[in-house]
Amino acid sequence: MKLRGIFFAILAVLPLTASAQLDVVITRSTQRAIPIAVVPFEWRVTLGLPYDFAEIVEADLERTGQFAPMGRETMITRPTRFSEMRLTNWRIMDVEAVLVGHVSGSEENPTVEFELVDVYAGKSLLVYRLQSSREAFRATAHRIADLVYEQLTGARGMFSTRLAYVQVTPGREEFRLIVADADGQNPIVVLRSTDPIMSPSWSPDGAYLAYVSFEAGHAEVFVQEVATGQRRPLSPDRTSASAPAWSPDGRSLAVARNVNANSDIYIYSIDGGSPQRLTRHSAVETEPEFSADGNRVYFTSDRGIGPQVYVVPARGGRAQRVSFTGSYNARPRLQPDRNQMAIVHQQDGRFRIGLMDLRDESLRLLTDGPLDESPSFAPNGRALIFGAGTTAGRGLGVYFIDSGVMRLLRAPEGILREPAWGPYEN
Amino acid sequence: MDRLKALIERVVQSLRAGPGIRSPGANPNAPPLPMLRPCSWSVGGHAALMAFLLIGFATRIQTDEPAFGTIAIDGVVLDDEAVQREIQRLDELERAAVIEREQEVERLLEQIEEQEERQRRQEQELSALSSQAEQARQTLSEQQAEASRQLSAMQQQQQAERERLAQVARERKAEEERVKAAEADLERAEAERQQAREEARKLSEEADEAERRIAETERRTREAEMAEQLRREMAAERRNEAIESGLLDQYKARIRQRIESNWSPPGGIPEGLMWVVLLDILPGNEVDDIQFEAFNGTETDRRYIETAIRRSSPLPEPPIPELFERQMRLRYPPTEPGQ
Amino acid sequence: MNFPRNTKACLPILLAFVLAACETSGTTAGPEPGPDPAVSGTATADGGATAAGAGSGAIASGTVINREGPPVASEPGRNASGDWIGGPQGTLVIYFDYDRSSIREEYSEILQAHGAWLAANQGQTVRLEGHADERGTPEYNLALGSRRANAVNQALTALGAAGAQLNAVSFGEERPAAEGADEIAWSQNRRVELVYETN
Repeated sequence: MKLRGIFFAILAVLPLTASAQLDVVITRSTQRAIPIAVVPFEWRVTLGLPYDFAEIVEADLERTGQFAPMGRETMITRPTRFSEMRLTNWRIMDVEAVLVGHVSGSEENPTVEFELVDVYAGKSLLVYRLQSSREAFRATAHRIADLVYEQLTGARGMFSTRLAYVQVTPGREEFRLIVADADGQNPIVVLRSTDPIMSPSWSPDGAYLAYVSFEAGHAEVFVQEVATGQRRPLSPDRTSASAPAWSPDGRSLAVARNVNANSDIYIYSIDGGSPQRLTRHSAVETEPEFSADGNRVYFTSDRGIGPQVYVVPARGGRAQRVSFTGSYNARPRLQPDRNQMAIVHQQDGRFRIGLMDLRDESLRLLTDGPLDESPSFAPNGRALIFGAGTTAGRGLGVYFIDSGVMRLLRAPEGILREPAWGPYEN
Repeated sequence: MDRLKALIERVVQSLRAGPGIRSPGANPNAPPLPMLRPCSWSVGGHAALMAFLLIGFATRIQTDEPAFGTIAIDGVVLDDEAVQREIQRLDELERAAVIEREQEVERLLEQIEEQEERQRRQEQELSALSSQAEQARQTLSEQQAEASRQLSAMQQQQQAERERLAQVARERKAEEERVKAAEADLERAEAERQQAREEARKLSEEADEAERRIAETERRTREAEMAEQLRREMAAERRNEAIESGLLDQYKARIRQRIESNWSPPGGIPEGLMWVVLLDILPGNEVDDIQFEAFNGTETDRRYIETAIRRSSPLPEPPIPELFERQMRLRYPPTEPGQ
Repeated sequence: MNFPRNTKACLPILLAFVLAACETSGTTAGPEPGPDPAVSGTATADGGATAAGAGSGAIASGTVINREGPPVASEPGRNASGDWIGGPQGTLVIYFDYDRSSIREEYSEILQAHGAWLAANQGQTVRLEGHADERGTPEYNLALGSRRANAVNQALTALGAAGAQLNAVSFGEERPAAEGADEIAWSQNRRVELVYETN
């Protein structure tokens, strides 16, 4: 707060000399989607658009609710570079930023060059060239969206990340563990079972998934390499365990282990060895979550009245209650880079996703419920995905924190549940 | 004399060479000059020779022109023997002519020498005569010089008398001019005095005029200052009225709302963000320059503040012109110092 | 992290288990690209081998969760040949209040009968499957189901059953008895099922 002191010192001096000026105090900003234009990239190789990079970029940005891309049909011109643009035209169209680009090279290995233009400042914010391929053109488009998003918001983009979630087919005949792109495209089944699959969790490097499978007749944690499908149970003694959560260094997993009909938090080293018990209580302890520095473990316990969030040092120690608002706060997930935590909050029978400030314990409810569960943050902390149980149906909800916009991902059949947003992978 | 000799020799030679001489280097195929057919050569040649003999010696040859070619004679056919005789006779004649000519030259040379001798004698006689004449001239010129001296003395006396008279006349004329000049000076002085009096009068008038003008200007300035003072007082009054009646606050509120509606950082306002911006406003309420006086955010934060201001330009018009200011300061957050 | 890459030497022996596992529990692992995640895939030898290499024993003996196979009684309380094995005739499901694991008074007589039956039939084992309704977080509901199963376990032990006869497990909200997002469905899902196992 030293900075704050200096700032006010400056302020205290300034108004005294301000007799010839008008002083206007700004009190707030307005939340609105930034009007942008993503101009279709010109293909220099072939006529038409074999892969429409701009369409994917536009969809990524539009989905966040932070941007309002203008329709292609309303674009008077389709420039491919900054130097071709007449900025006044775009100002008249009320556009603040324009992405232009063109594609050269072969259809197999196209080269994408693009430029982001600040219409009001009249300058180019970003000039980039990316090598793509037929197989990776969607990935390239997501990468472009990442760069644009970062330039326009100051936060790193999350469009190149992946999601993991469980699909349950109608009649619960099959449970599938699926990995897909952040926009829900390219779903890949990495595990299918007639028994329930639960709680997928990404390793920090995005190479492994830990999850719960009931294939042995009870809940058990498995670790699977995503690329190869190789898997093994976490515990050699095959004890009942659930809710796996990776430590930030990827070397250990916190799980809820059920011993003698009592669930407590244990930490398993990935290299083997006997698990370390972190909590010791007759109540339910589950849903562990490591702090970003790996020094603390947040978890849910119903040692009080109803489930609440507690925190305990990762090396063991006394647990402290964290959540106090209401009678049901569970499944903590820490927001990256912020002192906030997403939880499932129940009030009046509605289960909603809430964002709790860890400093003042204030709670802001993000979703309406009534049956929302399993929040998981995007690595940039600007969005979270959750199991959405809305009155309109079930699916995966993606909530964009800065815009308050929610999108629903639904499967062509069955329901999607228990999503986990993967880490940055590049 | 030599020229004459050369001439004679040439004539002799040409006569010996005979007809048909071609100029050296001439085209052998070209017809000889003059253009006569060969068959008539001997005929023509001899006929010409004959004519020459008949008339040439009588008239003497005096030109360099060849003797033939200029005379065309119709030939007469003769028998060979007669011709041979004739030729022989002609040769004899010719030899006699040469001897005669040589004698003639001798005679001419003798005549010339004679003439030269005569001339020498004459010159000697003339020289003697000339010295006699010189003597006589000498005597005459001495007499003349005496007479001239006498004349010159008389003339000098006359000249002196003329000069004395002229001097008297000049002096009288000078006196007259002096008098005339004095009279002119007098007139001029009078005129100058007159002019000076006139100028003094004009200056006095101009000074009066200038004073009047200065007084007028001062009066007007005073009036203008009073009017300006009044206007300013009224403006200040209207401004104060505007402030008291809340018009200024309304105006500021409209500016604030305009900026706020355009300020939309995509992640919301970052915690702890503070900024103070000084704007230069053009007449017409257009924002000209944006200067950050204080700012603690990121480049992205700065961009959205600038965009908000640019989007808000032109700013709302002041409700009364008196509220317009060339500069405007925007600040966030609204917290006052000390709070 | 290192996983056993493959166990080629054991493959012939394991293969039988794997196929059995696929038939019985049907768990398949491995990347299986497909444009539509809803399209059902079949188990591949690769995926099966991986699963087998990683822990086939459990899968092979996973008959406990087979819902289609012969071990499950065709009628609650009766075995395949129609003999009543479910203890006292009547209820095999105990229902719970929301977010509770305490057994309601109405079930005391029934549980007494089961306890007595198990005490009299020491060879008989029973699986106690705890369930929760869909409300709340899946992980917490898993723990809740576990606690409900354990409550029944303790009651039966107190009523004469031996510990070895009882096997308490939880499925949380993963296997609801009734679909639906209302109290009627939820009340049927907050339960412990007593599943008598044939040996």
